[in-house]
Amino acid sequence: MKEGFAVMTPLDPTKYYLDNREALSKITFYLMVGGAVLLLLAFGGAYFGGAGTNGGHGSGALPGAEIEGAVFKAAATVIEVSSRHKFFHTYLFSYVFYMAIAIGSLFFVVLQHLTRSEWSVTVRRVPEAVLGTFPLLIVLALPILTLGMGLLYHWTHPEAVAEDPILQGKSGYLNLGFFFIRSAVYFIVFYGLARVYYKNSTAQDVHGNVAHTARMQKYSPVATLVFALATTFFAFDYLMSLMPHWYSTIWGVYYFAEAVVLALSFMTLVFLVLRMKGYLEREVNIEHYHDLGKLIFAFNVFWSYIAFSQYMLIWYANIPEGTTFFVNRINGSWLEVSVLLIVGHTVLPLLLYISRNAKRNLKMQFFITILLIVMAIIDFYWVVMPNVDYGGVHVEMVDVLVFLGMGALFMGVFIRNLAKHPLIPVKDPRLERALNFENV
Amino acid sequence: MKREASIFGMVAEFDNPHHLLEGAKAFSKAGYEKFETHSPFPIHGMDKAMGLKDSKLGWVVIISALLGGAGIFVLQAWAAVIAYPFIISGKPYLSTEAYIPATFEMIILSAGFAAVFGMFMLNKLPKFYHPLFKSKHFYKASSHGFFLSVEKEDTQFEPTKTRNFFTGLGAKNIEIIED
Repeated sequence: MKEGFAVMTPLDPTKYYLDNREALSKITFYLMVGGAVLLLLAFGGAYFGGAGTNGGHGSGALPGAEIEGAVFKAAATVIEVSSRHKFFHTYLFSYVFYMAIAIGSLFFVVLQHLTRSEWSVTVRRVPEAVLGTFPLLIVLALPILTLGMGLLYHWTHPEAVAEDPILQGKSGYLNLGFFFIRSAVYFIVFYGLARVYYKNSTAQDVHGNVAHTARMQKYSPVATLVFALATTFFAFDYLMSLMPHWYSTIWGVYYFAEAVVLALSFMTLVFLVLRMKGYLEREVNIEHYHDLGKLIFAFNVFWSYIAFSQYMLIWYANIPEGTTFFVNRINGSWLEVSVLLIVGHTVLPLLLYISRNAKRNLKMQFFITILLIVMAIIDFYWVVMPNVDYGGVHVEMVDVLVFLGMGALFMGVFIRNLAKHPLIPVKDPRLERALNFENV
Repeated sequence: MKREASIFGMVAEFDNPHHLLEGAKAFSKAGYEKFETHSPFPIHGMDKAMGLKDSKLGWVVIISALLGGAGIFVLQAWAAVIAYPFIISGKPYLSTEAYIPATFEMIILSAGFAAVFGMFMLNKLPKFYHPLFKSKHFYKASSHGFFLSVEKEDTQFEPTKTRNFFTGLGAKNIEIIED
């Protein structure tokens, strides 16, 4: 094992921490508090603002609805939320978005160990810091798993299942007990893998023990398989079962592809921002940005390929069990959103970013990463929200509040993790190769 | 004078990849343009050291890819709309969705062909003979030798001057190659 590693020059770890860590810890604290407040405001608006349950399920009335806290009541007058359905759908949209960043980052980190990559050592720490957000993301799933289930998922209502032969046929899989068990499995897998890869990498910063790298490599094939299954079924359960009559076997890959594009864009944007602040100018150089750009481009084409494959098979067969998904997404102004996804997520990045020079131009990379993050937001919104806003796009204050609130919590935890450890794995045995790496 | 006109250029051997890289840098700096480096494996940073411009291959590939994609798209549309209009599963004659897979594959195929054959063309391959094969040492370039050759068409080329330049860089086995 050991003879394969290059002899390394010891780096001074203290030079690779973020500056002003006291100020940062204050900022992240305010971010997290602010995020929690925004989420609570949106929640208050949904539950105490006189918003009803616009669906036919009738199970939206919860015991908590009678309690009218003065704060929530005041909040509710400011934030109009059309329904509790709306609140939980937009909550789910934000949730799968931030989950996708974490899932994509997990994939990136495991992939680097699976392939024993040398170039990526200096760009590994940012996605590793994203792995530290899994505990937060598990906590954020609790509202969905408790109050949200009845409002989000039609198949949770026994009376709906009783009169629906299709749902009866699926009830062996789509039932509350099994859903909770599966959710627990996903969260254990995600959290467990994240912990193994984050802890081993940061532990190596201290003593530089090669055994950490060897261990992460050893686990990576199994980790990839377990990760693939967990991601696929997570997407089936949390997103596809919103329309329990509809199914698409490629759905898990669709979610995975978007997650990887999003995570790569997110980490590249973080590196570009760090570079603007004067960090890692030599360690993450144009060669690394070029490789990140290649991965972003490739996975964006992959996303387009998967999205089109799913669309074309449904279009060709043209049978109701497939087409319901797209019928809902060409209703009213959803059609424009669908077209926007084709143009902004596929055509524009393809044309702008195919050239080698574009991938080596940091201004272009800055633009593309922001474009793709915005497109990922639109994509997840387009996946989740037509299930509640049937007639067309209907962005409310609550959409913004929940998205920003969850984002502030996420960024708070992420920046906290980033500040805790050096910005590159200072004692990784392949660091030397990564620092001197060049594209042929 | 006649003999002078019939030479191809000059070749010399360098000790190792790093030495060759330094040599290429020096030649590029001295204003040489028509020179080549030969090594058994690719050397990182050699393009930059030799002062090479970006390859034209990318343009060959994208033009070919766009032509191939447009061609197969038009062929399908022509067949389905004009040549043999036929209603298939109740869809319009011009069903662009159905043409995308073949268009996509054709883009990739034409890009692949253009990349391989365009590379051959730009490298002037296939070529069964090259004056450098006359060198007594050049056979090492495919196993363990690192060479730099200069063509006589180079504006900076002058036999004694270039020979001295090679010697100054520490190159061995300097030879004049006849055409």
